[in-house]
Amino acid sequence: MMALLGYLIRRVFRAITTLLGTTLILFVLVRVVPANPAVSIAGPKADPETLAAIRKDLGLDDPLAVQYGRYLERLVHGDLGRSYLTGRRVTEAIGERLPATAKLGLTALAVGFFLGLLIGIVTAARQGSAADIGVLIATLVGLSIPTFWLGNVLIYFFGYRLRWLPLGGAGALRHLVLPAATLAIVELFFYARFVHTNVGGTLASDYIRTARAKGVPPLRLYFVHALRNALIPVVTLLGLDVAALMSGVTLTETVFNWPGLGRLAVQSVFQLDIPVLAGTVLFSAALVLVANLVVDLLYGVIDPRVRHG
Amino acid sequence: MRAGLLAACVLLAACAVPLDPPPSGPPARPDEVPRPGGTLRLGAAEDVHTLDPAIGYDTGSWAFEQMLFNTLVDYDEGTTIVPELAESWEVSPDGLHFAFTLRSGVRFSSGRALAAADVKYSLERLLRPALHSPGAEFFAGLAGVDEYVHGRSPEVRGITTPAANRVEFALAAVDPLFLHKLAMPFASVVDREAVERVGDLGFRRQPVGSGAFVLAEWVEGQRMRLARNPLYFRSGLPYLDGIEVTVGLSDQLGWFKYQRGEIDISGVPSAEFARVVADARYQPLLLERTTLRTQYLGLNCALPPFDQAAVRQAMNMAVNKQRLLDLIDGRGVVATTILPPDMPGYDSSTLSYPFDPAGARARLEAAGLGHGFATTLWASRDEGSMRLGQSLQQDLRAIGVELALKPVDFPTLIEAVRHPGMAPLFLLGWEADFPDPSNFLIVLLHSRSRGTNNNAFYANPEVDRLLDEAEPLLEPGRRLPLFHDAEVMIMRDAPWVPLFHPVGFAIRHPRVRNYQLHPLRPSRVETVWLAG
Amino acid sequence: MAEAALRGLGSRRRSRRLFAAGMILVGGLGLVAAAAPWLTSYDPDAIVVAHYAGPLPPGGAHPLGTDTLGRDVWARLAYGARTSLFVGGLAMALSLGIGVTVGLVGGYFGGAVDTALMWLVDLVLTMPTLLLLIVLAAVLPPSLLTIPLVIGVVGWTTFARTVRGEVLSLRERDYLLAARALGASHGRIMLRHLLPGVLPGVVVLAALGMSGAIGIDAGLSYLGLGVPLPTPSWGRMVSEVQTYFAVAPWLVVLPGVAVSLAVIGFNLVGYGLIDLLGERRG
Repeated sequence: MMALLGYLIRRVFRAITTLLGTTLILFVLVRVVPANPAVSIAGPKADPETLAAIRKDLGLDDPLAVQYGRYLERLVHGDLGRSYLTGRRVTEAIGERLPATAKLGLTALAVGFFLGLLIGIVTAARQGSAADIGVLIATLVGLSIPTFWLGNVLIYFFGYRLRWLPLGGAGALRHLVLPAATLAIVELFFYARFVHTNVGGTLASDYIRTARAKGVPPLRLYFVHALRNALIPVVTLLGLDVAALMSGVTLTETVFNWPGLGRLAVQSVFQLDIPVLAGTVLFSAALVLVANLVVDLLYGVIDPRVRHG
Repeated sequence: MRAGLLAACVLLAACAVPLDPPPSGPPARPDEVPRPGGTLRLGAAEDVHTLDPAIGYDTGSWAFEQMLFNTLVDYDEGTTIVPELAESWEVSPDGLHFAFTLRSGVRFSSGRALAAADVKYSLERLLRPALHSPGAEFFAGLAGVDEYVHGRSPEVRGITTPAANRVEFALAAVDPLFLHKLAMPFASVVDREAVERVGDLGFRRQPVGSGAFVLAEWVEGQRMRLARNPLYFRSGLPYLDGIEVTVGLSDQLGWFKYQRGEIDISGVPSAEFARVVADARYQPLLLERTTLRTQYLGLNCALPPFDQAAVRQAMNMAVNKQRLLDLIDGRGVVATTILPPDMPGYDSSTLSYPFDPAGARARLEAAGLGHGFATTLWASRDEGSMRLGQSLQQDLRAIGVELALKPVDFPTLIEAVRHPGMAPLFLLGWEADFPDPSNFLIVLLHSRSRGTNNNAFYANPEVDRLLDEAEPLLEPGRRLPLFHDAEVMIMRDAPWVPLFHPVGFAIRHPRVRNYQLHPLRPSRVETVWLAG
Repeated sequence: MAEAALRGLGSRRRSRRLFAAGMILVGGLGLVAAAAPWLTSYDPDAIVVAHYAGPLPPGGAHPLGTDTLGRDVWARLAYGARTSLFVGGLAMALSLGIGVTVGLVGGYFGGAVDTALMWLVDLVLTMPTLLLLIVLAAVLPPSLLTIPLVIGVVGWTTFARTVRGEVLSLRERDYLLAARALGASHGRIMLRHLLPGVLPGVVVLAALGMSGAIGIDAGLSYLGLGVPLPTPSWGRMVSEVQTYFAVAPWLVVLPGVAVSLAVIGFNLVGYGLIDLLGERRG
């Protein structure tokens, strides 16, 4: 128990240093790009004096270390600053957008993960069958489709042509269907393929052969014995996937006009709204780190042979 | 495999879906009269940056600021100045004094009567250095601004309010554009009490003015709703009960929503443009307006080899402008001059360069660059600019110039072109603030504008002299010829390749009446109405 | 476990057939890429339509029609094979190289080495990729190397973490303990004993990652950040014509089909390799 606590403390410490590193990289990147955020605020036609005054006001002319130090100091107090463009608190803007992104991301993840798991196991159990190869081909095609392409095609057919579902936007459950499906399809194929491979390997192992010989029912065999063994890499993937999901969410939100964090982030990148950009990056970074921490802790639960070190 | 693909393609080509009909609505009748009521549904790519008229300096913000606020004077459907909050005005013979009489019975949407003191307050607020208004420069010519800005005076001496309905301006120097400046949304009259209550930052999202509409709801990233202002001073207006803006619509999504009848005004995406223009069902719904804009290829006169006029002239002759225009669906007219056709002082006989690749090559040879050279074009990353860039790439390759494209985002582009040594070639456009040649020739090509908007770093003392001479002249008869002489000289020096003058296009739902595009401003909606 | 996992597609005959199909696809692709200049007489970058008035449908002088700039689509597809193979291949090689090394070393040695490497993984994982790309696009001169480099440098974390996870579960196996007891060097243990164990997962990820790289190029092109213009790449071709679905479906579908064929080819070869490897060992 104490070991676990120590481990936890070490991991949280690591996560915090990572976040510091991420924000530092962010500050350097923003500094390196030859663009003036004041232009996004006052418009491209503003005179140089106004732009210079705005820059000075925002503290953009201070040395990088001073800017970064100031940012950290405010961060400690839970202050992410205000948007250059709208003047709103970044925490407020993120809080407003978070529910939409959470709804979209979690739905897609849940649907994609469980359907993927199911398809992966079923095809693994019927290795080499026509269905297996059909799923393989479908998976490969599915994985080669860019998110925005799929999103646009879905909108075109189901939103525009057939009029079954709304043309983008948020609100009712109907609005969620297409964006969530777009994201989930990619997730689904990914997990299906991966589970297939890993469960396939386990099914052929002596341990399963023994279990089969002992007369363990097939369903129990697949879903308990084989799955448990194949779960570590899959769960690792789940943790990593949070990062991929965040970038998938970004494109999906843009295509479907979904009012979430991803669109906020893209907008802030293009307009160099640094506080909003830093806020969204920090937030998604924290999310990714937490997800990975949870995954690493899960290792121990799934496979006691893995020691936390 | 190729044969198989070919067959598949023929099949696909046959599957091109015919253009759907536009949404249905009541056809226009000659005897119909405006019908009050209804909500106009608009779409926007992103949230409005601000609703504070002192801050916004982009079309998106202006579109809504002009619904919420009023200025002393405004434009009619063209570029003629007409009264708005002002009922009438007099200008002193020396052109230094302007006296306005305010219309009576104007109220802010808060209920408070709008008085001369509010006009003075609004402009002084704009000029306050801490506000960093990009509009402040336009009013820096008022008498006493210097003392005010530097804290030596609590007020701007040049703005006085002899009566509750009289406001007078004194200028430090003659400014032929002063009325036009008062027509800019920057000069909107804001409710002092509201500003003081919510603060300058808060006012960006909680604006209070005297305009035809009031802000009802703004959910960032989703929608903005405006409601009719019952206290609006023009009786019976606006016709609409309100306006609803769906935020976050891409061109494509906006178009789909338009075709499904879910929004009332839309742009026409490039993919569908040719079919829509050719379709008799859509033609009556299409809105079109030439604008005071010029799209140009900037040549950096501070960077070799574009420091040589011969090379710049060669660029002018090498560009196939008609093809550029074709690639953006012909939404514009080929530019041969700097000034757009609707601009006072426009003269189509100004020196221009016909498309002549052989001549261009000859000029390069004469400049000692017969073997060609490599250079870089900076441009914004959008699809349209990329099409133009790739066409330019091909034009220049034909005269031996290898062009690398550098697509960057807009704030980067603007910053890059302001550094003399950074962007050899760049693709930019300019949209006039005022219907006056000075807004192109001085703002973009006077040597004093280097580092601001003279991104070609063009400097010719002779041109500067002509421009300086023309600038304060009030009489068009003397002013315009001087500008024309300067333009001819600039075209000879060729710091730009003027490419085309964009034409604005939009499409309306058949139920929308009286929606017009404006050459200088976003469309006004107070007289728009919806047929039942 | 290791050799049991090396079984991908069931019966040997079927797996050989699929492997052959994959080889044909990949070979055909390589051939198209190599022979592009002989397969078409058009310059892929040249605007060949005299008066552009929208894309031309397939047929006549342009077997697959022309694109949104009036260029020959077949020429762009053929030359685009070069770009996409280059971008995908280089990006994948980079991610694979960095990722597997980091995963093996971190998982095997554990302790401080592992902590440091995993910190690096976290850092890369949380890096704002889009911003990084925008900055690089603005700072670096336009080059065909930029995109694969960026994809490679940010894309290796999946390999690293997956490999590490598998190494962790293999580390305490008897045969490894035995090898260690026999005095095998660290390098030998990692290369001879651990690497084969993690290979199946890595091959699957690599084959998928190849498609990922092509997809990322498409996504970046969609945001205006892909390979330098006018170089044709399939990703760019897919992204350029998003709004032409109703007007010119062939423009939207053809590059998509090309991408899919490539991805299927690479994956079939990947799984085939696993099977053949397994046969040899078994």
